[in-house]
Amino acid sequence: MKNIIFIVLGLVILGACVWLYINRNVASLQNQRPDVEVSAQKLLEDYSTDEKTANETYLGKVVQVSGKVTSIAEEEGKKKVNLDTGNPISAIICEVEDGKDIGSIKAGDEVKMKGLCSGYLSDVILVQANVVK
Amino acid sequence: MRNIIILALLLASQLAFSQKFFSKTGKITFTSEAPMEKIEATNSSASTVIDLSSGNMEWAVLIQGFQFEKSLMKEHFNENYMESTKYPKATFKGKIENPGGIMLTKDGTYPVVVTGQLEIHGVSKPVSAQGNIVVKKGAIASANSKLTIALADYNIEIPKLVGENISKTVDIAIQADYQLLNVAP
Repeated sequence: MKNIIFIVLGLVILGACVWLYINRNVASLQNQRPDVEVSAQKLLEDYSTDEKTANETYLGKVVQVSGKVTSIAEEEGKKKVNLDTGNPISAIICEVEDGKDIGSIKAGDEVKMKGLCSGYLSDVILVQANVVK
Repeated sequence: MRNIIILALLLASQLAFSQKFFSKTGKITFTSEAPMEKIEATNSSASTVIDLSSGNMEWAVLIQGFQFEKSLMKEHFNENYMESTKYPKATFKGKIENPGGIMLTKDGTYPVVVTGQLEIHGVSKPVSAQGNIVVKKGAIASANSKLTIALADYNIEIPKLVGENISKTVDIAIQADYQLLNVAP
């Protein structure tokens, strides 16, 4: 009798673990260590010279980019911080992670942003970005 | 005084003839509804250009930029279905049928049909979709459309095990607010 209780209890706990694993939310990037650190200029330069090689280095990685803020945009509660690359038509666009505070940063500030690199269109785009303090 | 008038006329003529509009904040949402589960993800950094003089319309989006709520859905989407390391982008290149019907001088919502090639997962297929182009203050302000695609058309295979959780078709909604593209003279 005792054994049966233990088995049932074990199955319930196992089931709960599996359910939690399957339904877990996307983890925040805030406390993840960067895989690569790079300046905004260098990141764009790498992508504009050879996108394929740059993807091997940066795509899907946690990339920490340092640079000067050119503008901050907000639309429907979603913030985007654009970093200067020296090229007027290509920025590093950092989509700020939902619900994360970017503090008091403003255009002209030198900052470090950490985000998941999703690749290159005419800009290099980081998603789930956080300000590195 | 005369110079100012000439300058104003020059600027006005340039505005009138510049027919290219772009956005870097295009929104693409896809939804897959199956009996067991609804999967939805949004990307808010799609790039798009409309050239009204030729009717050309282009879109590009980064696959890894789609934001999911559930971690496992995101993982499966990127690794198993879209193979986003191998195929990091999806693109559309097409033409607006009858672009001459869109009058920048008249504000309003113009229904359009856009036909072209949609490339997803390295596979390019012809598609045609209905949508709207909104004209405000002499410029294209926004565009939106909805279309449905079949995963099999793009060689996206769903394993039998999860087959019931994932619909064989996916609804895609696109929307963008456009700006005039200033081409250097």
